[in-house]
Amino acid sequence: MSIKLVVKKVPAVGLEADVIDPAALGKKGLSEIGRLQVWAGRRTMPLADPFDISVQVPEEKVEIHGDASRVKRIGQGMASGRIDLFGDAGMHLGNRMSGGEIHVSGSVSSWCGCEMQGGSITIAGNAAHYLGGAYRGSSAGMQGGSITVSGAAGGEAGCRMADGVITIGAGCGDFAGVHQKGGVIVVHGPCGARPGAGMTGGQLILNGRVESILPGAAYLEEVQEVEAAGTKLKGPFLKFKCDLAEETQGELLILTEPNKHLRA
Amino acid sequence: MKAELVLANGTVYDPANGIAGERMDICIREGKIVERVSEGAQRLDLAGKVVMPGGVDVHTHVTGSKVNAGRIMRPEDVRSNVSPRTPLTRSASGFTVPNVYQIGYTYARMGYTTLVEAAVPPLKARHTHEELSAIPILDKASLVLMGNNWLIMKYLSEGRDDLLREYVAWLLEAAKGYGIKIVNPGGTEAWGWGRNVEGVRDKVPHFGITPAEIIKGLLQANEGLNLPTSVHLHANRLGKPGNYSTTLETMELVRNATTRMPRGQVLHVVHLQFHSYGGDGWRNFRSEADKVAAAVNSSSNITVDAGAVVFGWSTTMTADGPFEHDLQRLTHLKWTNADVEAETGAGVVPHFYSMKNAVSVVQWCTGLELLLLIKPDRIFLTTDHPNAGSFSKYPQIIHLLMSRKYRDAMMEKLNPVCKKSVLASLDREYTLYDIVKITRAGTAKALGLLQKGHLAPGADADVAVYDLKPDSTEGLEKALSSAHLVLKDGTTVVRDGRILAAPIGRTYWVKCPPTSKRDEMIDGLREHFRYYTIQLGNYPASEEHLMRSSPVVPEVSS
Repeated sequence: MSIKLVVKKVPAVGLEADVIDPAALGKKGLSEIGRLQVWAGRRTMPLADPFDISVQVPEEKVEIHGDASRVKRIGQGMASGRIDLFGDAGMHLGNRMSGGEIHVSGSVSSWCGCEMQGGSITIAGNAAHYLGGAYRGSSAGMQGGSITVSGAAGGEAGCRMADGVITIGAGCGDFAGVHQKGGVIVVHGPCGARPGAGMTGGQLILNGRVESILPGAAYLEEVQEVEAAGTKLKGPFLKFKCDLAEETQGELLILTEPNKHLRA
Repeated sequence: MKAELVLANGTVYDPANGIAGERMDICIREGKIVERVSEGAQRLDLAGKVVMPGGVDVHTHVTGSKVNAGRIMRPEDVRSNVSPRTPLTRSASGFTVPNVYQIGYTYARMGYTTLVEAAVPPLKARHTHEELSAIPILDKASLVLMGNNWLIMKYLSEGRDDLLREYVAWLLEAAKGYGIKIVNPGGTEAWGWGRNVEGVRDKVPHFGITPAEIIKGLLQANEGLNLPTSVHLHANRLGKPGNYSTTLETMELVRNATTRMPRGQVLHVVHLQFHSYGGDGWRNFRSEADKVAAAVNSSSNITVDAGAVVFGWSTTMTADGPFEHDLQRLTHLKWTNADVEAETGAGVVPHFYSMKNAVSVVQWCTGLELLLLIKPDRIFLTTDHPNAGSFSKYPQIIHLLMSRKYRDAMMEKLNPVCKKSVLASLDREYTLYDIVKITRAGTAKALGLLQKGHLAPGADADVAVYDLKPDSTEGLEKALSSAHLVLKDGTTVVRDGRILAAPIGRTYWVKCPPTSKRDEMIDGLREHFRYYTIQLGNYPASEEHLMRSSPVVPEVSS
């Protein structure tokens, strides 16, 4: 069953919409979906209040149309199915998901794909902070699956990431791959300060300009190309072991051409 | 609650009154158990249900600065086990360091109606009582940390037993505490100098006294003041291989001590599991529970609680600062260390008890061995929440105690080291009668809460009713986790696992009358307060901090 949700009016405090899970909604009738309770601040309301809901073709899929930038936790913990967002999405999109697909035509807010274990998220616009990261106190961020952002990402992308792939198309903020333990992060475009701080494993590939790196990054060699998650990236790249402040097996790879200042 | 109520036809377990599974009626009026009620009283037919007194947890860490340190450093724990608010209940969350609402609701659903917060630094008592008051439903009491207090060690080193007793009385009132707690006597003070004490005969830096003198001195003060409960002792060398010899030596210190109080014991040794290890390192780490159990069984004046391990995450927290440092060095997880000025310290470190880890499995075996080898009126069920696991796992431990078959099935999943344990050879299975002893009757008696833990006329109408079969363990954990009915002071607070009411529980504390030594002691106290960051006048927690204050005034010895 394909469910279409069109945003009518989202309360100013935002909406905690973790009920939007294709597999769970697919088992319910239209009226039952409309009665599902969502939190708005300290009150609950039926899902039919902020959304026009309709049921369409037989497919395990949810479509959301309109400005959902204040609708939080869409696809939280989802295990299968597909969500298509035609517009922006709010915080915690697809966090802890273990399977299925989420496609966003606009941009997403912070904590997207946090601690996800599988599935894929593709974002045509930008992503804010903590993309594929870990919630405060957790030992591991993203643990599987893939996140692809065509635009830019904010700070702490891939924080404590343990596995999976994050690809960012147009640069990212500070602390990319902070405390990264595994997996692959590829950043095309400029990268902010302190990439790979505290990383202990995995690959952080910066395919754009980087102003500076931490002294805990130890230069190893120059490599001509890098294979990242099945894709070959043409270099050459400066390869560092990072971050020596930890017991690390982490690799920081930085495109040589715009970053010759880092070789010394 | 003025209405009269009869809990009719339930199968009643009340070991304090020798009732073992008899079908009978329990009458309740105005929050108390009574002999009989009028004919118009409401009758609840509990045929096929098991009725027992409300649970009394003798040792748990649910409030205070160390628990809050745990909450702050473990946001991932606070995100678990979340339930939103309802018109009656507040939003609840957390597993090993739950919020106050989760604590109250979970205990109540399990049929517990009283708890004892086992370690309160007097300096942090005001905040602790604000938190205790916020725990819904349950009656509470707290134990005051005294084993590393500078003034106490000063009086002991000077041989001033009279001033020591007066100071203990004052400190209990200032902290609104119910009893004396000693944690790693002298060891936490030594930790302030980067050291520890390695036995009861080691000298404490600067004060020149030994842990043995601290234990005996405070025990003497406790009995001199006729306090309702005995000294509660967290012995030296917690968690270290080979520490059972220190535990035996500690228990030997009080062999000839006596009490006039109805509780019978002069010493309650807490979380014994952590103090019953053999070996001289982690490679030959083993349980010596049989030796420790024999010592407890042969000492008529000692009670203990288990501190039994539950597999999974815990958050260790204790005033035993040096132990937490050692644990962090082993596991490299997060660590908080605190110094509480002139009275104690603390540490907090998360820990994971793994089914595949030999040390964790030996610890798990040790707790169960102690529970199965020690007489059930001398040992009580605790997990030293949250040190050995969450209190919410008590039903699982009860299941393990009641079913050899379940223990064997569990051991199949564990590191094979368990196959060599004493536990593997133990056939004993608890009855419900025994379970009531280790969770209610025994704990209430040891705490001197004579109105709790039994169902005779005059007792508080704190009653738990479970939908379970006395002769079967089928569905046991579910039934014990989600009581059919729980009454607190005669008010129905839980029905079929749902919270129906959230009244404010009492806070018990001890108010000892001052003696002629009070002025001299206060003069010494003013000098002592030169070392505090706050003034003496601001130190005591006032009775206004207690939402429902319930002072206990001990009898004065002639």
